[in-house]
Amino acid sequence: MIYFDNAATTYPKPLAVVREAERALLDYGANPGRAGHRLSALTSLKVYETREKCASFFGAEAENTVFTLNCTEALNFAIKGVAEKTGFCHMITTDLEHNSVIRPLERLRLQHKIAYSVAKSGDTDDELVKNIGMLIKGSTRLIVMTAGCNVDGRITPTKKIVELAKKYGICLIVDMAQASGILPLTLKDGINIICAPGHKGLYGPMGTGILCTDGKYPLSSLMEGGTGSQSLDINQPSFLPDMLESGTINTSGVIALAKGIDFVHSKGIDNIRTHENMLCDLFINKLSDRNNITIYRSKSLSYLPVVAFNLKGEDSSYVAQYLSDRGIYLRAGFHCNFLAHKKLGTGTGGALRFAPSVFNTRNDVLKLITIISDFKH
Amino acid sequence: MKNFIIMKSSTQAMRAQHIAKSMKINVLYTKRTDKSGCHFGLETDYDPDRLCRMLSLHGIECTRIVRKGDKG
Repeated sequence: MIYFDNAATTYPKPLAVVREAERALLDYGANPGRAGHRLSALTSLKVYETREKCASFFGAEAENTVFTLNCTEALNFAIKGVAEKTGFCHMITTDLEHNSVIRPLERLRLQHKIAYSVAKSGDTDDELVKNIGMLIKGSTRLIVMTAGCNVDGRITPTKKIVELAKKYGICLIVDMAQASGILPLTLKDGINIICAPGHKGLYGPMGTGILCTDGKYPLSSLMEGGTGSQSLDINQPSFLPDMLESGTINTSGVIALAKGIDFVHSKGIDNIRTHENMLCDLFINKLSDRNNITIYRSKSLSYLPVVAFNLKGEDSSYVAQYLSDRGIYLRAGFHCNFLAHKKLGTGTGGALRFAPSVFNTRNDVLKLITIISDFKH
Repeated sequence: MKNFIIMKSSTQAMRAQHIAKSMKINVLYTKRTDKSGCHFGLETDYDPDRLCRMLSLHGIECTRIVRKGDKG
């Protein structure tokens, strides 16, 4: 089996992550931040250690680092939290966004809580920055955008958008679903809120997500409940992380995530990106001169190690099934991102997505290339 | 009973413990309950006022000090 669906979730996980999840279930079985007994305190300490690691990874304070179930939940907390605190306002996003960004925005619009505009990403970074700039108006309070598109891997010029947001005093939320563990972006770059999954480029278990904020733009809770703090108050605590961490967190997942971050540090983000880009380049170079393959990349842009492609005249899901039958797993379809597919011209049939991880090898890619080359409908 | 420094959350208490231990101050992350609710904080024999001042330099706010002998 060769797994190239790492943009959905990385697999396999490092053995240290698997072992730590097991150890957490065996040894840290109490509820963190609830009781005062030793096992709860020990579990709280392990959760805190992971919080510190995540905070350090994204340039945040530990208290401003919230554990969520996934990146989608973090984005919902961030977008809707800003909307509720701000009141009716205008928000801007781009045509590269996953449904985890566009759907919360659309729901808020339908509830008459916000208006929003979608900036066209165009063909260059400058075009995207210019298009976002043109959409800013007096009532704009939020820009929410991906650091890198989950369909074709296009990297957005985050640092230029930071300058724009700062100039106009607008909150900037960056969706790092695909970029965490690949691009070294942190709050120290001027981003106000980072939302990231634990289970992709950070190699943690599924069911883990992270929201980091610089605290400049207050959020509000979307879900209320037990936090272990201010228990006699009928109101949800107004401070982080408690405000956004109602109910028991995915303790074993969170504790194991620390080992995923250790793994990324041990490999080095630059080395991971270089390795995965090398695999993408190999894939593209071997297939790009074939007439029956379309690869959705532009020489004027930068990309994460994700490649969208199609076999001309073939249904992407059929090809994915063909590859699956031969032991190669990658994802076809629309990847929960109709905007990006529409822009790529794959809005009717979707595309295949090649997404290697640090565990994939050149031989894995060469096997995929051979099977694609021999493809017969 | 030792002095008990109340923090606003379990996370802050954990962070405070981490900082105090890095300064070789003997503290223990603890939960106590009184009529105002459940509280996470640090038990310590160290001067609580001084520790709170040191923690405040790290952005940690001590909500309240329950001194040794106080009923809380």
